[in-house]
Amino acid sequence: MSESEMSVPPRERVDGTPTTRPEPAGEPTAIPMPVAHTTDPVMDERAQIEREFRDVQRVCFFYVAMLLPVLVGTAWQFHTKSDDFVHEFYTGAALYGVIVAFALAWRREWVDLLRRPDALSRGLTGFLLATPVCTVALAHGLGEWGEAIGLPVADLLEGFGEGGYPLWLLFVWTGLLPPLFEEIAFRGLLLRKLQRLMKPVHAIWVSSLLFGLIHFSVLSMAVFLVPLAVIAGYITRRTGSLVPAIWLHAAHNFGVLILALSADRAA
Amino acid sequence: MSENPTPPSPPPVPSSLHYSTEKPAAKRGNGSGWILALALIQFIGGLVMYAMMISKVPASDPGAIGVLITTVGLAAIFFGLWVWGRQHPFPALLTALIVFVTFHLLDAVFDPLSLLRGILMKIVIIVGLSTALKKAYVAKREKELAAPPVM
Repeated sequence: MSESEMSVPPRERVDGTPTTRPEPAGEPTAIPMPVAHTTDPVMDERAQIEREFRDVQRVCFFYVAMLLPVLVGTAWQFHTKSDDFVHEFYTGAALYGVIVAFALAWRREWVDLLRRPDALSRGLTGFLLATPVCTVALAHGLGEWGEAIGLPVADLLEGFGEGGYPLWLLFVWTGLLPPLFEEIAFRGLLLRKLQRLMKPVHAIWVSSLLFGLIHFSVLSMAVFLVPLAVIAGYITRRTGSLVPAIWLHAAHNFGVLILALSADRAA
Repeated sequence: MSENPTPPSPPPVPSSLHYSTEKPAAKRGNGSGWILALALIQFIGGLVMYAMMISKVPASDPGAIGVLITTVGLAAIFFGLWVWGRQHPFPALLTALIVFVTFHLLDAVFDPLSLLRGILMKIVIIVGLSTALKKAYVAKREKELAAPPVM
């Protein structure tokens, strides 16, 4: 076979199917059309994961933003040896301001939780009634045990009575506002953000641990804060509403307050 | 005369017995080892701190007991997170990182100089936890995206 014959591909394959017609030798070949750019699925996937990971950074940023006013307030109280209600007021106001700011910025994430829950089953209603009784008993028992062995126990009424503040202010400031804002922060914003990143069960546990952590007491965390938060998280997910969790938290706080006032009056 | 018969072909070797000259890939952890290290450091550090305190005050001193409860309790939290992290590293690492940073910031509130004590180790731990957290999330998502869709 000559060299020219070898350079031209056969017009038929062995089985008889035609091949493409070969270009005649000597003529210039057409410039091939540019191949359409196809996205690399691996790079797209990686970019998507990077975008999702920014939610983790947002969660950490939100938590640190809430932590800062609490730390500053604690430092102020510790270093000035102040037990006045005023420092609590400023700390609380700063914390609630942070929560409101993030709640407005992320309102689409959680605003659907601000609705009345559907009719609760008997089991769930019983659960909602029994849980604050148990958590109040545990909190009170822990406080009694701490006092008995001489541990420093936080006094809910510290600085309040001496300032001559009315009792309703104590109930609003300790019994009503913390449940409202903390539930919006932890079961509204944090839980919703975490549910985008992990399974709902894990999100409930992580948000509960962070809720317990911000109260700065390892024992309280273990005994009643984390269990209360887990139950509140579960109920929020089950009912699709923040209202039962706010009720649960408020009932717990009111119960602890009433017991503290009774003990104070008895003393 | 008949030709020599071709020898029968040997039975196929199971793939598990194939000899490979490639080194097996090193088994990679999921990052939860960082949490175990934290738990051990916290536990040992807590016991050392309590021992140092009771050399100056009675063992039943409320302050010393409070320090022991806090440090051992924190070690127990990290240990629990390690156990959780063996199966689910991402949520455990996220929680461990936030717990670690929170308690050290709280420590700094009462004693600002405590931030500088062991600063190198703290930086190493934070960087290690953050890197492990990112890798755990990427691994989790890649596994989820590679899984066939549920019909």
